[in-house]
Amino acid sequence: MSELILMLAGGLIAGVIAGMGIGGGAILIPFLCIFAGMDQRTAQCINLLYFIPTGIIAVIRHIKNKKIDKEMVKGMALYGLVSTAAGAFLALAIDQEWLRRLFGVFLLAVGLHELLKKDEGKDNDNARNINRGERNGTA
Amino acid sequence: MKVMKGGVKRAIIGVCAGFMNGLFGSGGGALVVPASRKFLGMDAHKAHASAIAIMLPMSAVSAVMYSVKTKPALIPALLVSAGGVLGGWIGAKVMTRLSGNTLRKIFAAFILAAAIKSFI
Repeated sequence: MSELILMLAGGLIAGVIAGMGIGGGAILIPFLCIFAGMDQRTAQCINLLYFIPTGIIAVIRHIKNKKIDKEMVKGMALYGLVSTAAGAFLALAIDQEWLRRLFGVFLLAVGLHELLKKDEGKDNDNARNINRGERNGTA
Repeated sequence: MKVMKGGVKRAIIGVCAGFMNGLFGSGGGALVVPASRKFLGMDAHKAHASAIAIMLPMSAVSAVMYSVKTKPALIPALLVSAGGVLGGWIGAKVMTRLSGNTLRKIFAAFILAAAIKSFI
């Protein structure tokens, strides 16, 4: 029971911060591992599943508002899909302890980037306000 | 990077983002948004919106591959998503710029603590 509440809480926190532009996964995945006792791969899988419906909703809204750059999507997604499969294959093949450590390096980079970033000033206000509207759409 | 054509830059960013998405089950957006702003000169909103469209098929591929090997994750994913919708709503309603910047630092500290924990 308490684990179920922790999952809800983890989603809630990730939802709040996704609206702030920090990747929700950098919070959600360690949260699920540390507090809900999940293994690294399952937590990563949940983050991926969580992104699909929220991402679809966000994309539909962005298509309506003509905010999707087709050239960018085409140019990145096609190449990206091949390396996605390679990355996932690696994540499933290596020892979970190693995956956890690799993920730690990723967290270190994200955390330092956030910590050292200047506070958002006027320049980013517009983007921020728009980001709020998108809230859940950041994996 | 100026010598490279846009198409090559997009391909490189896409390949890196995809690999991160597959390996870490997250993180593609954290790379695509700043990289496309810096190297392709995209504005923040378009970069963010397009990043989601790019991550979506990647996440679907990764999720299918993961699901073969992880514990059943559908119920936890539903719970997390329910929390996420609520959190997004709360964030949009109550967040001010000041609290946003403070919260950002708190979350950064949590991320760093989690990073250190994973090494010990």
